[in-house]
Amino acid sequence: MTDAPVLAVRGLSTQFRIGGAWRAATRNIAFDLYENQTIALVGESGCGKSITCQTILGLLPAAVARTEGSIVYQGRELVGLSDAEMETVRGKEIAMIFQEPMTALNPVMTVGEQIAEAIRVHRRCTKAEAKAEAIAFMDRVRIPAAAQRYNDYPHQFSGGMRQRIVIAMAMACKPKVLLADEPTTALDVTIQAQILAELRDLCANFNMSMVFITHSLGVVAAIADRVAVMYAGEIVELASVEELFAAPQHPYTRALFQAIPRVDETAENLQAIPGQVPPITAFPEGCRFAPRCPMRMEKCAGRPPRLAAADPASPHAVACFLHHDLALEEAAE
Amino acid sequence: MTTAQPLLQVFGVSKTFDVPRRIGAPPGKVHALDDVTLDIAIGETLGLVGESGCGKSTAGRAFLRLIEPDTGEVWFDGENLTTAIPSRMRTLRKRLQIIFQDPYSSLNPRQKVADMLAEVLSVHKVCPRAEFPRRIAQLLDEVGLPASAADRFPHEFSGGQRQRLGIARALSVGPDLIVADEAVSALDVSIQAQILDLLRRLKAERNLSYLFITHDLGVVRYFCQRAAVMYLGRIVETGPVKDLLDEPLHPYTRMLRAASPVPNPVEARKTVQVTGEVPSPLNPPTGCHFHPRCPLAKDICKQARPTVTEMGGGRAVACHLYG
Ligand SMILES: Nc1ncnc2c1ncn2[C@@H]1O[C@H](COP(=O)(O)OP(=O)(O)OP(=O)(O)O)[C@@H](O)[C@H]1O
Ligand SMILES: Nc1ncnc2c1ncn2[C@@H]1O[C@H](COP(=O)(O)OP(=O)(O)OP(=O)(O)O)[C@@H](O)[C@H]1O
Ligand code: SF4
Ligand SMILES: [Mg+2]
Ligand SMILES: [Mg+2]
Repeated sequence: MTDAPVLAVRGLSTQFRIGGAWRAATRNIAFDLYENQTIALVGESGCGKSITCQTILGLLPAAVARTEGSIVYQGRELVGLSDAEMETVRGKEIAMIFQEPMTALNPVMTVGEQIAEAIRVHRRCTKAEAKAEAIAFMDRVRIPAAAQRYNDYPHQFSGGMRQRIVIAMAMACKPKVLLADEPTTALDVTIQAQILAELRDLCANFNMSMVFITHSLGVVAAIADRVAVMYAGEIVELASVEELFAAPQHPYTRALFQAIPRVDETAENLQAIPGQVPPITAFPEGCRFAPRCPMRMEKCAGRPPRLAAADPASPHAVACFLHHDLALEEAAE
Repeated sequence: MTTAQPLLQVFGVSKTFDVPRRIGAPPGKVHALDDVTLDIAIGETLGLVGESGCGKSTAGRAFLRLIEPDTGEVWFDGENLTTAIPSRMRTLRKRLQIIFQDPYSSLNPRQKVADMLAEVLSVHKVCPRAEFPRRIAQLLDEVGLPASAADRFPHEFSGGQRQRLGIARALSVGPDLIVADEAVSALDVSIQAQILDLLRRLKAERNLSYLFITHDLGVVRYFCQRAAVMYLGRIVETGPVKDLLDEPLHPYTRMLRAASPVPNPVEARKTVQVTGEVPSPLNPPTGCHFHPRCPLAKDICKQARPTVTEMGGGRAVACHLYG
């Protein structure tokens, strides 16, 4: 843990051109990812989790989006690299599992060939070898009768089977960093548990690291070392998984825990957080959660609170005036 | 649970798909649905759970005749859908809606949200054209999206926002039955709670029924009255949700229940015992499909398909341990 992080993100902001003006969808995103570690990104729908990962891989077209800040991968700055330079990073170094499998799959190519192709892009081998390895990967993601279904097309697979093909394609790249965007949302609990175990194995055996996006706090508990909680384009709490579950501090994080439907308890009502997430064209001035926060104080509407540890010795950081008085000197906009 | 007349009745529906094999060889057959029988009462929510690839989406589609079942019958509100002529089916579509599992491929990428919803409203003659803008704003608000979403294209939304567009589309026509296929799976827990509350309210106000396909047993517990558990194309257990989750009868239901993640880092890392290989629907095991993975399997399980045993209290199970 004393070595340099594999991936260091600082002051990252992704902006979209909306109605002629640049609007920041995310602001001041910062985290370190170490070898063989998993950081989970959680937060409400639309808060900028997928955008952050797509920005790390430079996938958003310059015409609609622009990036500020810094992304250092193994000592190399990625922000500002040309598309050709990024191509050398994508897949082999940093791979991504996309949230919606159909966006990543070619509908007119068989699922097996798509995995084999991913293998051959990164390694010289014969077609037969690639096919055998692709079938082995299909087995690993628990596709029954893999060899017989090698020649199926994506539309012949169920939602969760497609998702597992996309996972197999990413595994086949053997990346150093895997950006996994909701990779198990379409999977039932038994297969999900098996896939999570496979991913943990990959981290341990190939020193892979993961940025793991999920909205399931059960999955976070099973896979993450650290957790970044996002709200309206910002990280509002960052802590080890044990700390976060034992003592969530940000009122938004606490509210999230209240809203989980549990398999072991019957609830009359789930505590949805009242109000709505603001659209990126209408973020509030101060703390972005203030309009919905049950603990809101007067100063919350003034300047944005900075993400910092209440106790300087602790790595548990939170952006909330209840816990410390640090305000962000300049909003990074 | 409910004594009301069933809105949807499904009798012995089966569906197989051909999948290609090597050139020259005969195609393989995927047994996606194998003699499925179930019903949903008016105002009832039936949860459908089971392993990925076990046939849940195929079931949802076959019940609404978006794909043709090979055998079996589906009755909706006293009418046989299986033999309904196309024009009659078109009329019935207004009452039978589906929220697709994959929002990305079910939305037209070149159509703005407002146009997409306006098209549905006009096809089904839901309200006069002059009221469309108000109705569209209301639908977006109900699924937690700002009114400005109307002017945007599907790719400009996040995954969870797109999922909510699919929900808005299904709600727009005021259906009587909604097949919701993993409709809240991409949503964070807070928005999920809002959407579930919305669906619950609509159910109370309009007596809506749902077939609720999900892999989240927590959501099943919160939202559904009854649940059906599917394994490799067959229904293996049905019953009231609380009984089914607290005292699962079928060994597969027990395995599902035990593998459900709990939000606790210590508990979640204890390796769950998921035994055995996932079997293939191309060549399902003999007898009880679950026998190769079942810790309690007996000799007969390898030979005979277990029949459905009524267990009282609205519960039923297909397993040789019972009956
Ligand atoms: N091309 C685009 N143009 C304009 N706004 C966009 C575009 N793509 C995404 N957005 C907006 O940026 C915000 C962040 O989107 P992102 O996809 O990162 O959310 P997310 O956290 O992954 O959410 P979910 O959990 O629903 O997938 C959203 O409000 C979305 O509407
Ligand atoms: N058009 C098709 N052609 C061939 N096989 C198909 C087709 N549609 C579905 N199948 C197969 O039928 C089986 C059941 O698929 P289905 O989509 O119903 O599963 P599911 O229970 O919804 O799974 P998931 O939870 O992963 O969405 C799978 O083996 C799938 O590959
Ligand atoms: S029928 Fe036999 S194999 Fe199947 S679940 Fe029951 S005990 Fe297990
Ligand atoms: Mg996303
Ligand atoms: Mg499905």
